[in-house]
Amino acid sequence: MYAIETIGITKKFGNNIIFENLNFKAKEREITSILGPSGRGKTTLLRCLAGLENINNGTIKICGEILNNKNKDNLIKNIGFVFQNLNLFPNLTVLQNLKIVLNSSKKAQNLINKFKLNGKENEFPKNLSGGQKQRVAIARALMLEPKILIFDEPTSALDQELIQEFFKIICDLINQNRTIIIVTHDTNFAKNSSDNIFKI
Amino acid sequence: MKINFKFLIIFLIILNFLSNFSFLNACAKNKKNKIVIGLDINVPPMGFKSENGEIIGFDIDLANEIFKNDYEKIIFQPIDWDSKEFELNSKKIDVIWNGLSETPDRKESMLLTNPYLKNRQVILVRKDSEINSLENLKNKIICVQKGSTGADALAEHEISGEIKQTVELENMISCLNEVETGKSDATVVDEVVAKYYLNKLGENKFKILNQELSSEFYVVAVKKENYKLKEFIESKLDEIYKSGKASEISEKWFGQDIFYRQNENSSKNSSKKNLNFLTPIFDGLKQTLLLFIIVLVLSMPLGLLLFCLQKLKFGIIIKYFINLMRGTPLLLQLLFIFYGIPYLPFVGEFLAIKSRFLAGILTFMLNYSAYFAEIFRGGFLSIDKGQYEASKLLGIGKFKLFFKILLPQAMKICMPSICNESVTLIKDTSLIFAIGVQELLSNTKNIVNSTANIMPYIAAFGIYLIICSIIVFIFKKLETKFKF
Repeated sequence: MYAIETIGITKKFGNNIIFENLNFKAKEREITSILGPSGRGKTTLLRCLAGLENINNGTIKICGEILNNKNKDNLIKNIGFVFQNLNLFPNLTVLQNLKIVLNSSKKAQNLINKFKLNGKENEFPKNLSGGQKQRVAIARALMLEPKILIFDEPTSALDQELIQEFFKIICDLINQNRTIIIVTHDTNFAKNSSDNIFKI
Repeated sequence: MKINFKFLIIFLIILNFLSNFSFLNACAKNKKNKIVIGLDINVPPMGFKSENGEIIGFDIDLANEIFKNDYEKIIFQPIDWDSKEFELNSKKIDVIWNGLSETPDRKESMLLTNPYLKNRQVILVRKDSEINSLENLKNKIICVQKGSTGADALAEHEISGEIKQTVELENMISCLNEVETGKSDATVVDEVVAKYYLNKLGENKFKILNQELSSEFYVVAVKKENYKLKEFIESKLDEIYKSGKASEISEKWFGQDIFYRQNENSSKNSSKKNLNFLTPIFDGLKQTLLLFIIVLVLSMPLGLLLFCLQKLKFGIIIKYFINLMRGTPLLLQLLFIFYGIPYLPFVGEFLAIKSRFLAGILTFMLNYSAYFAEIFRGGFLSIDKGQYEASKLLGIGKFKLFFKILLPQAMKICMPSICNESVTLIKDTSLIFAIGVQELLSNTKNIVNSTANIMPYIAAFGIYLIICSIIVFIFKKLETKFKF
């Protein structure tokens, strides 16, 4: 069973073909890395999967269902997306960043404890370190309890120690029966951490 | 060379300015040519024609005393009392001095000095009459001069319902005659007139009741902007009051000193004499600030609304509106809305705004909301696209996205521009003078014109600068409120 599957998808920006006839599969409860040099459309593929970009051709299946304009909003709820630049809401504190997604103090507090963000609840993102910001972004994505988590270049801004910590976090997520898709150009990290590697 | 040329121009401008200034000052010190005093010559004892055709009276003596040292010629010009404002405004006469009572209407249309007489409408009865108070007037016959202040005062007084009969006669002499011969029991008359007749006819015939029907102040009127002349008259009045000349004239006409000076006022005047021009400036400042605050408070939300409406189907109309407002002079818009709209065919009558101030507020609001809409557009444009995408993927609703995420960020970005626009607004408010609203700058200009004094300009500089500094300070404080 695949959490996400694309069948012959093509994406163009104008006449510029980003990728053509692409078949990508991510198995459930596994870590799949998408590896490749810059400019090959790794991020664009992720954005297509998350419904942020429309594809020109082919089919995307999420949890076995074909993605179309009608079910888009519903199907996307299965996906949590952690952007490369995280896109935290700078005007909201850590706690507010979580609670604006879902107004549940209990859930937010649990996630804050889990991601070792205690004491930072009322800080604005600009006062957090890179690793803390990333953990807030992951916690925020988990507020809606998505089955699939997509990371765009999660290790690019992290040092070795923080990469280890990030690895622990995704292992934990796998243990909670979630599917992880990671876009990276860090070959070592992909080899060491992933169940499958998809080269683009 | 270019720089030298610029300096030359600046030098010439300064020279020109200084020469004008010293010329006007020199004029002010010299004895002036003439002053024309308008009056109604049928008001004894204030101003009237004597048996040999001379214009005499209490006011005439007073005016002569005030102006004799500073003017070569003092002309007493009989005028039609109904068109006195017109005479004054068209500069045919310089002063109205003729038992002019102070009323709210006159305060609006002319510049009035502080009072020099307090006049009361009093009751005159025969010396041997049993009437001693207003109460005693019940069921009595009262005689009044037709159309006089006394007649009005009686009609408005509660006692008028209980008197037996009111007799209206052409002049005061007839009224006195009526009372003297016992046809009427009492007459209502100006206290100054009563005192004049008592002085003239002898106090053994009549007595004046202590209680009054109403009271009023007599003042001197000058043209609306002529603060300089007003202050001159007031200081001279103070002078002749202190020197005893005023009581001398009063004794001559009324047999006693009834000249009136507000003690506090006169002492205030002497100490504050040089700062007197600040009063009209502050009056103008009130209008300026009121306009500024109302426009700022209303046009910001309206600007935000215009920005949002641009996103809708009919947004193109809003864009045209914004172009219209930004692409034409604010002054032209003001003139069009106040003076132009009433001439529109069919709808003009209904759309016309009667209040100048309201028309000003509306124009400023429309104009500034267009600018604010563009400022907000800039603010929202500079928010990272990622914020919209993150909200979309997290299922955050549009309302929450707008008010909780985008608006605070946009406001932070827009703050410096809004501050800038507010500073521009406070200066732009002076344009409202074009539709006849007296505000800070126009009042300043008027005082300078009438007093040939540069200080009001400097005061206006200072006031504008202070307001702008306060605005900048407030916005700096507001900016620090955005802690993110």
